[in-house]
Amino acid sequence: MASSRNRFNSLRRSTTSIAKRRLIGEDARESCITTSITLCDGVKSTLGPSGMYKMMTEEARHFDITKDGASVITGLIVKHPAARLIVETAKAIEDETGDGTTSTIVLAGDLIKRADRLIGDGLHPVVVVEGYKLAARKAIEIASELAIKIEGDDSDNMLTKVAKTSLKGCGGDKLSSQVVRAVRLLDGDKDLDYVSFEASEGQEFEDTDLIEGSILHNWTPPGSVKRMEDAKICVILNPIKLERAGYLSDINVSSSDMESHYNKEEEILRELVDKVRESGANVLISIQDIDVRAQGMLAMHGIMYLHKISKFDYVRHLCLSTGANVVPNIWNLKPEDLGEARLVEERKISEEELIFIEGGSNPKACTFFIRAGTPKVIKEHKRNINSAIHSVSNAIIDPYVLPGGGAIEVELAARLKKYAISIETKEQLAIMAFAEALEVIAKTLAQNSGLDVIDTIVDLRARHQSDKNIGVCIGEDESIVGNTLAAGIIDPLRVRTQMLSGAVEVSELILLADGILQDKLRDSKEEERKQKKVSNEKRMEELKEMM
Amino acid sequence: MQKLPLDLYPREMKRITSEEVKASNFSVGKEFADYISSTLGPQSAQKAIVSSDSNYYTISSDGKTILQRFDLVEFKAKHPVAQLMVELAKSTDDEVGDGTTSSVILAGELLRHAEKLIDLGLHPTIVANGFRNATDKAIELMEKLAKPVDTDEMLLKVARTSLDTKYISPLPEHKEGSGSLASTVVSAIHIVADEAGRANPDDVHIVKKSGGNIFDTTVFSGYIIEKEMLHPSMPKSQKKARIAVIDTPLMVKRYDGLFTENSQVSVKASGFSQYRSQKSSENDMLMKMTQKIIDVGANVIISRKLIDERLGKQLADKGVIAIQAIPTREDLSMLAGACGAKIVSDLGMISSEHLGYADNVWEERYPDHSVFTHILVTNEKNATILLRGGIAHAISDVNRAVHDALHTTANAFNGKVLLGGGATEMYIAEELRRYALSIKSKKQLAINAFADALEIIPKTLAKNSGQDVISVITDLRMEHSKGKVSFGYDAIGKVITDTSKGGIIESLVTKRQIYKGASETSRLIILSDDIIYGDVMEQRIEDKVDGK
Repeated sequence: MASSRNRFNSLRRSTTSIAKRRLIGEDARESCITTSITLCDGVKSTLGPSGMYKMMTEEARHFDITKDGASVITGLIVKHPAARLIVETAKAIEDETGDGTTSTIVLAGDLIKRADRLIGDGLHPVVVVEGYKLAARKAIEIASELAIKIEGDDSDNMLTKVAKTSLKGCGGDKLSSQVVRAVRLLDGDKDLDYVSFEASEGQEFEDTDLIEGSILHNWTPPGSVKRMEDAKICVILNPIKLERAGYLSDINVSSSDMESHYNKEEEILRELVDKVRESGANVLISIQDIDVRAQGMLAMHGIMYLHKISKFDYVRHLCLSTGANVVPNIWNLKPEDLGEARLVEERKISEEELIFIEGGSNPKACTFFIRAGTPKVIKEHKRNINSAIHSVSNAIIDPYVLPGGGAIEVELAARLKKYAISIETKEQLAIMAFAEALEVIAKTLAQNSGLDVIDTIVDLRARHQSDKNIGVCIGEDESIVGNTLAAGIIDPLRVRTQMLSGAVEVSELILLADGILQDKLRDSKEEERKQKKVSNEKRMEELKEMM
Repeated sequence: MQKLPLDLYPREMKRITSEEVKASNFSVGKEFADYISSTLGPQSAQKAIVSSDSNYYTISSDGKTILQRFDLVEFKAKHPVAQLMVELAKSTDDEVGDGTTSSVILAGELLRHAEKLIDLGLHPTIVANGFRNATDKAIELMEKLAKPVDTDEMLLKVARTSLDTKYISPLPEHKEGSGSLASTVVSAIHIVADEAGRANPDDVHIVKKSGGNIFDTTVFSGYIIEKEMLHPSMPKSQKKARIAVIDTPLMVKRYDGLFTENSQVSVKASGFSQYRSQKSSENDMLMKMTQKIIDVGANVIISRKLIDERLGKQLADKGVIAIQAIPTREDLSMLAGACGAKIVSDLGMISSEHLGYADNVWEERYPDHSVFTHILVTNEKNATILLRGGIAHAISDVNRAVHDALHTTANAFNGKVLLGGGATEMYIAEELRRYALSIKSKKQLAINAFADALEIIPKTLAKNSGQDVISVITDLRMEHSKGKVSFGYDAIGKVITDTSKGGIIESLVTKRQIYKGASETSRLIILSDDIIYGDVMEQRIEDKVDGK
């Protein structure tokens, strides 16, 4: 089955061969360049809304199917230093901006490809890199000029469009506006982890919803109420029970006292429950156990209770979304520690109980509840929503946007070509190459949509003479290019500048490498160490005998 | 040409194309669907699944069971596409509880047709978009075609159509009439249906008991606990029972509190007399706890936790039935729901309104010496199906059949129904072909392919019942072109008939989920252009290919 081999595998196989040799000069550069081009071309097909899926299967982790280029590339296990460099850069970009990783890698691949040609023509790599840097600086300058500021009443509308573009067509207007709402809820908090994801198989992706609150993987004990409106929530850290580890004293009970002792126990528990009632709470969330008898008392008073919360992450999220404080002990419970929610409810969704805590008065955390057919699809949607969240967050931090669909790249290319001619040194060639490389975004988009690449790029170039917002955008009338700004395909400026500078950084590192020094493999090192040890021992014995 | 330091660009890259990856995806998908296709329909084959250490085996014609037990050591099942297919089956089952085989077969057939189109030169994106369009249109068509269920007879037909695919009774009188499995399923659905006319199949409790005959299977209004009473001298039956359902142990030693196994409290007796007084005071404590329950009027006590043995005789003397250790909290909740009781965990505050009511509670002994406690409740919405049968494997297969039938029947009861036997597929295929002609772009071809793929359902039915596939399909097409949209293939009678008269009926919800799931999975596979294997995996596959 030759078909199961593919470009990544061949890449991996042949990279093992470098282990045995030391490469310097041209050879090393050649090796690095070839590897990086192969790797970057590999993710090309995932770009854009009609990108292709990649199946990833690895012995050590679960099988995955995705068209998120960043996940593909960061999930690779590669040995070649150049490949590892690219994987690490992709990770860094993913952490920093969370969006636009694929386009960065694709652009970097094309930059390296063109640099290879220039170096072949006799240009020094340093000159190429210098040219690229000049071009990137100029490109960012132009992009900032062209960018449109998001402001005023229209800003939510624009942000929704940004979200929709980043969702790659997997979600409609509802989801896009929910993404914007979710980022707004965080209120400038940069830690986007407080938008959490819960998912359940079944129904359709259209049923995915934003819960302005938390979802706990837990269930109410049999006696408890299953639904509570206008909930006042208290969160207790210590177990609500009498038995404690770590107490010094034993209690000795004589047989006649047994019953009174038993009653005393109940009395203490009753006091605890009364304390909860006095504070005005009607939902008790205990992170640890609750005594069965206390459970019964809570149930009698109509208080909803949950216990044994498995993850502390849930608690933190819950506290942010409801405004509750974690109270170590019931005795210290005060009314101001309580959190609020419009509704706390246990729902059974596809054979699994989930606790929904919705609609706090001022939620600072929220949850996307994703529905889709199978776990793989859910994971894919989760990645999409996550990158949309990052994209929107970027657009809020730096409120400028650019037309997407390759439009801005084609425009930048046209302007950079003009700029290149004004440079008199050798860098001119590199700037020219950079300009041509930028068009790869539009080309790849066209290719993935099943369009003719040459036709599209020629068309785009021609139409950019008059309109700078023309990009690849398949309209309802089957037209292949159009005004992407009007069609609502827009990207944040921050993501685009990150793409430009990131791609140049990657190509700089690859192009300027002129030596690969490989340390001995770990196995052979171990072997050597062992042999040394054995010979040492032998010598010791010999010495002993001599003594 | 001189070798580059890294020999990957010139040779390997040319040889390995994404087309080859796609070919492998498609072939695995098709093979998988072919493998499962023999289990579709009434005349289906069974498959025996044996675990690798031969300790466990199952015989079933239920698609989901086969796929889930599919030994994943096989190379083919490790293939990502095979895993996607298994997931498709699982999610279809979770969502609608039936139709797993159909969805996998349809997904395989969609892949077969997609491959042909891609070979013709169509871009995968266009094929996938066309399939999406076709699915939307097909669902729109089937919703138009669906009819509401108005009679019991129709429900009975739905239940029988679903049951027939997994279990066929050898005796015709058991197929229809009041004692049949189908009517059992329908009566269970009627019992659990609420005032608004909605039935939740999860409210039906299925209890398996080997022995007797499949035809002895009964439906029972109420609940059956697979447990014996606490003490043999307790009354064997209790009419007009008042039931207390508690979730706390009736013991001196407790799971939590100070009197636990490793607690800091210790009670020490210094002599025999003290020991006796201690015993009696323990007894008093136990009795006091229990007395509270009896005082509010309960004469049946059911606990999820343990009940002290010493209480057994004393309760029996008072004519109270006690049952301990109900296995799970789901069981307890279901039981409480069945008799309308509230679960109590604080005995101090129990009152008469927490009690449930049952018309009768009695013990039933079975020939294999096991004892079940039956709780008959007529005024609540809970049903229990007691499955009987000769051998354990037969019962498990019937259990799956009944489970699927319950879901399908409930779906039909809550929603609408469609004609089975491929009639709906033929109709939709016909309409889709017409719809395709109205599309100008290349998507037309994909929609046409989708229509062709739908015909796999009647084709497989015909093939499994040993008929000539081509003639069945051509005949069906002919009838449909005459406008006889209700014509389908009856796999039991092996003829083409009017399915609305023959009574082969399926639920709309199930069918919709089959189309959606199959189309989604096939689209995912069509749009995949690469498989990235890990080191170990790759090596293993190579070994397999080399035949090591």
